[in-house]
Amino acid sequence: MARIAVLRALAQRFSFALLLMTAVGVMMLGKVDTVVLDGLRTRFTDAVTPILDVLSRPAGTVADAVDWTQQLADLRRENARLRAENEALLRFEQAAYRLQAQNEALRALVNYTPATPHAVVTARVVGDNSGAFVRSLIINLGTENGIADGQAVMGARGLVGRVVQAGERSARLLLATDLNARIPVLVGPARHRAILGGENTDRPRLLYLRPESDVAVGDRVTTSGHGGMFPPDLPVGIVTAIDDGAALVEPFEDLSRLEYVRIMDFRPYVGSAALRSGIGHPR
Amino acid sequence: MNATLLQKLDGAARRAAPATVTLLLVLIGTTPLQAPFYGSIAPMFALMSIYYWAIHRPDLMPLSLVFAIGLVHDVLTGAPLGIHSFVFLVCHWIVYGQRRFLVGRAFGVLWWGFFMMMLVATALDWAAFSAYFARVMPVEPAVFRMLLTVALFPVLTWAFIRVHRGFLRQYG
Repeated sequence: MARIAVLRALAQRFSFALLLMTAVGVMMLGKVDTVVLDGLRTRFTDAVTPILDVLSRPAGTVADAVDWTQQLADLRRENARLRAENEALLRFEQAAYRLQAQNEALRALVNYTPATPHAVVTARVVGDNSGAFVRSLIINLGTENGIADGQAVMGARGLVGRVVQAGERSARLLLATDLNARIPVLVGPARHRAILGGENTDRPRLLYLRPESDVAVGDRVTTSGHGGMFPPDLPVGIVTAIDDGAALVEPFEDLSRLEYVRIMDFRPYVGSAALRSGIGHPR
Repeated sequence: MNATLLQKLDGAARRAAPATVTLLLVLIGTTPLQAPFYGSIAPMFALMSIYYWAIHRPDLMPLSLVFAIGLVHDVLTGAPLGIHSFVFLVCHWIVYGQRRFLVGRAFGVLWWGFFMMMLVATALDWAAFSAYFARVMPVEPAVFRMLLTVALFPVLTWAFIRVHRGFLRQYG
């Protein structure tokens, strides 16, 4: 009896060491070659997404109800704030009309060809909570709906991130705040070139800014379109702090509570079926 | 005594309860709550389950299952594959080693034990990610996640006890 117990303890210890080594092996494999593992990961995510879709619905309803109650609580304050904002916006509207007319006149003068419009598809966020060290989401649409790796993802107000792993019926998005996110941007009215680098914090940082560029708090940040990954001029965020020469950018979109996102197909727009078929247009 | 096929199936389904509950918790942990900052501090429900079953029914929470749970966790959260298999295995090993001390103790002791395990899990998680990406990771979200997980431990334990009594009573 005692011998069996000893053997069992040995087997237990051996399988522990074996599995621990397997885990490390998988980690190293993932670091070296990502094609095979990513394929498996995508297929598994595809299979589980319908369950996540169902699970995320009650959570969405609860969040909506909480939102509704909160709004009810500070209706008066919100109303006053909106009135003030409306007044400011009306002034901007006048300026915008004037600038639009001027812009059109100038475009006609220099024979400017506007960029082609993008096709857009809206998806539901079904998986979040990637933990303390990764910032990514799962959505309920995939290649079947024309989603492809590299496409830009927008929220209601600004850039969210990009598609990094498109499965058939699901896709993973890498948020602009993730450690591995690097997005070419233009900063401020002078349109300084920089790279927006995520740091797993809520505010990504501007990298590779030229030392002489005069970036100030309050400058708007938009995508530049350099590198061909993203369409140009998508709103990203606003510079909120500059410490030690590094500028921190607050995204326009609240990335911690996304329910729906828009995926933009930036490649040349061929008819209305371009996004739906997902094929037929060269990269 | 020969069990009929139906009885065998019934027994198998009951013995699968810990695995099913844990995998379901991984899925629930991935569900977006649309609450500010929840995404980065979402509690690690799966670890609570591993802790509970490693103490009370270690035969139904084998190492291979712990490995698989970690892998599923990584696939769904977009973490590098294998990282949480590693963390969960080490946690299981620690808890299993302290099992004789923990089994049948008052709830406060179990809670304290869980807190201790979460300290190790969080430190290991942080170290593994920092090593994987070759860069020092921010500590705050991990600490908040640990506190939230420890705070929710009683609720989930209550649920595990219900499952334990409901499905596994006649089997020990």
